Amino acid sequence: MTDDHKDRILADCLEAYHRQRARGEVPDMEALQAELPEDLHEDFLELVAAETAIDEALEPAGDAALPLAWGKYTILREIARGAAGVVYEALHRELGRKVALKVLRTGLDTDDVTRERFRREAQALAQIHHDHIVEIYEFGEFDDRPFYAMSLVEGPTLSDLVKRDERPEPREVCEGLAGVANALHALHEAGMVHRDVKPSNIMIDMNTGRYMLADFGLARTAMSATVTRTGDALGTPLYMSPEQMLGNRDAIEARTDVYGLGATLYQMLTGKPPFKTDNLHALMRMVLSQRPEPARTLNPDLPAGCSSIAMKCLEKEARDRYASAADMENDLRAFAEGKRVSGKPLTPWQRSVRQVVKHPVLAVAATLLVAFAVWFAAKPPAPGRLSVTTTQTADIRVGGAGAWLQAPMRNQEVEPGRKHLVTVKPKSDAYLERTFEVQIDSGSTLEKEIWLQPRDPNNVAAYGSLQADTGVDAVEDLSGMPGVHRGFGDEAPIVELWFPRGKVRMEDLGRWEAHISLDFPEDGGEIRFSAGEEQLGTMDFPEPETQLTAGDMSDEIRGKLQVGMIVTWQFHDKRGKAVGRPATFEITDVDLRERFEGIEAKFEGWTEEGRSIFGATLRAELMINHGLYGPAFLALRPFVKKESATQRMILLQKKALESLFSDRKERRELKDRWQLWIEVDEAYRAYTKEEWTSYLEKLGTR
Amino acid sequence: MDLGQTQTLILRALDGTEKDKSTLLEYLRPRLVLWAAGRLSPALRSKLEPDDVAQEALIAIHRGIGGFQGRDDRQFLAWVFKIAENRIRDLADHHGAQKRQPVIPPQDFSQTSPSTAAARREEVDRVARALPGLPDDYRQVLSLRRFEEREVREIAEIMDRSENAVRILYCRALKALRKAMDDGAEDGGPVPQKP
Repeated sequence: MTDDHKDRILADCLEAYHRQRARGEVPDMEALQAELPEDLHEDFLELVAAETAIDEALEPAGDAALPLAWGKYTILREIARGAAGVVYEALHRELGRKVALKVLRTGLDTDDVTRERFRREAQALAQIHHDHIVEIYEFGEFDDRPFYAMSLVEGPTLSDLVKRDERPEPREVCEGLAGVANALHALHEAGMVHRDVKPSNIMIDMNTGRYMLADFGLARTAMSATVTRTGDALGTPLYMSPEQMLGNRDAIEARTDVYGLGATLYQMLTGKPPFKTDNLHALMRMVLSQRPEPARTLNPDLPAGCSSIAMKCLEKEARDRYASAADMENDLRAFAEGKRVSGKPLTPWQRSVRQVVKHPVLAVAATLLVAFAVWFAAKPPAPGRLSVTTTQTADIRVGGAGAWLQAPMRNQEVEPGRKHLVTVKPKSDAYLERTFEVQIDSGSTLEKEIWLQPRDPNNVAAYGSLQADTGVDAVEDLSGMPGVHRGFGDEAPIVELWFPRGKVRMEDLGRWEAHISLDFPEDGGEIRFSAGEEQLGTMDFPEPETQLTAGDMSDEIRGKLQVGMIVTWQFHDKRGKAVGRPATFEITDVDLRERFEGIEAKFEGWTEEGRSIFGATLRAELMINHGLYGPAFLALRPFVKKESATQRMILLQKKALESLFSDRKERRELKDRWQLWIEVDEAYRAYTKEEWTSYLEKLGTR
Repeated sequence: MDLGQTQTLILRALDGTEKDKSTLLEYLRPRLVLWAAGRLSPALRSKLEPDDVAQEALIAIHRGIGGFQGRDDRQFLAWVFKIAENRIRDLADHHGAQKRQPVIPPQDFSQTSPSTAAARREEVDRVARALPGLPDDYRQVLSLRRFEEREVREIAEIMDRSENAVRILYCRALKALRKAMDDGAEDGGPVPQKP
């Protein structure tokens, strides 16, 4: 191809880029690139980089000021600013009426769907008249931006009260929120879900004393919309339900709002949101898998009733919360009137059962996160010696690694209230050994959430290599295996098979591990390996409590392995009956560790926070690209829906990073890093898509 | 550019307070700096700084904004760059006559604005430094398309080329700009280093 011809093609593509921008869209880089021959991809990115540099240069130095007028409204002041919209106090010039004017922000990720949703929800809301819902007067568009005008509620938001430390008495809060619950119920009956119930969206009308529900239709389900919410102190989705965290739109329903209202109640009772951390991924992990401190633990003065209402709302599984906002209202009213509250959160025993059973929350909780082995040895201080060896999945995050440990106990060891000393020995040197005292509370399970300390909290490179060294998360597998954990607490033996899933290099076979526990016949069995029709060989599995890793694979089997081969392994008992589900891994020649290390090197000189968020998402992206971790893909699916995964990740990262920095200069530097990221991504793109797709097909995953 | 935003800013500045006017002017400033960086001929470049041209132009725009008749953002930008063009001519004459005299100091409107004319931002700097080294037609096409926000059709007329030729030229100009920016960064200039 001549240079002339190349330039012509690039110019056409650039025109398409400009047309998309002119329409106010985020240019779909992947689609645009797809139109180009491969050798021009890099050239095109260069062009876009130049465009971006000009865009940034053209930004005015000061923050853009308030618009003065909006159609027939005069803007008086800004009340609030969220990811999707800005609310102004405004004056209707002809009617002389003050209103709250909500304007949809048009920016990077505004698309027609968002506009349409904004419009539809405003219209639907206009049909609802409720004492606790802000009334909508008008919907319209001005300057190509949709807006709606609603009654101006004068008074503080609940979030203002928390900030000023002026939280009302529990009874008063419950009475006020009962009205909001009633409003939510009306909304649900009308087929809508608020999706963003939180203290800053509930106002107390100074004139009537009513708690008013506000901010409709701006909440979106995708994480991206919420992480950037500049109005939030942390810019994090503190009040988001697990199903929203997962971006599972289908799962969002009335009980999602019950969660939000419960989180609000929790904060009004304790002064704190249910979970709090400044690390988005840590927060995600907490919301998905960790139980909030009971409200009464934080504030012992609280009456039990209101604390249980909040805790019931905060259950991870929607079915464990109040069935409807109306049910919640009943309890809130009952409490306010000094009557008995009916709703109770799950008991610890119910909870432990739930945790073990296949659970999308648990499965995905371990996603951005990594599974790794923890040796677990319990020593009772009393005579006799208890030694339990098990492996558990654990998640790792910057600043620490957490493990939710469950050790099945033998009958004679089970004694509620008995204390055990447990030493957790992390498999990787990157983490410190720790000893905890735990006790058996109920059932026959020793359980505790344990946090590991990294040896060097600043060593992100160690973090990366830990990842490369450790196993592939097998939570997904466990879930599908019949009888997993069924023998919990009795004599059923535990078997650990440590084999890879996903992709693994032949030389890394011994390093990659998957942890599978399953019911095991007393007389042992074998693992059979095959590739398609070809039988590769077997490995003996002599007895319960055996540990086998892929490193133990015989030379005979190894000799047959080839790059590109999909290896299936399946456990069979002595009678030849298959136990559990087969799993597969693919032999690859892609050295992931090298890549991780290469990328880690690029993080030199970054701030700790920047590294943690950026690093984590980058890794997640790599996982997608390499099809390495099935669960990671599931967790990230919400981002993949409309835009390409890459684009979404970039956006997410950029916003997450920006939310960490208030200073313009720092933000600017981040932008440069963002560009760097694209370069990194580009270097990997060549492998990604087909590989991932075929991997999924092979796994039979969607 | 978000033309909608410009429109709002213009409308407000026309009827509004000094603060509204200065908001609009600050909005125009980086655009004028870049435009001047691309516009100054090598002879003038030794005498004039793009920032000074922008500042001069902004003062003139501030003074003349009451007289602007149009309402459309494109008309407004055309008007702005006409003023800027005039300022360059005046300044060039001024310098021709008086050799290297300091340019007129900034005047009062900037006092109403917290941002300072002197602190040229890094983003602007990156591009402004790269522009003068580009061939004339590259600078022209970048200027017309991105700073003056003209349609390809208009640019084709001004430059007396086909629309296709303009698009390709623009594409090459961008590529050259990007390269010049990278080279500038490697020279250890004031451009922020990538991590």
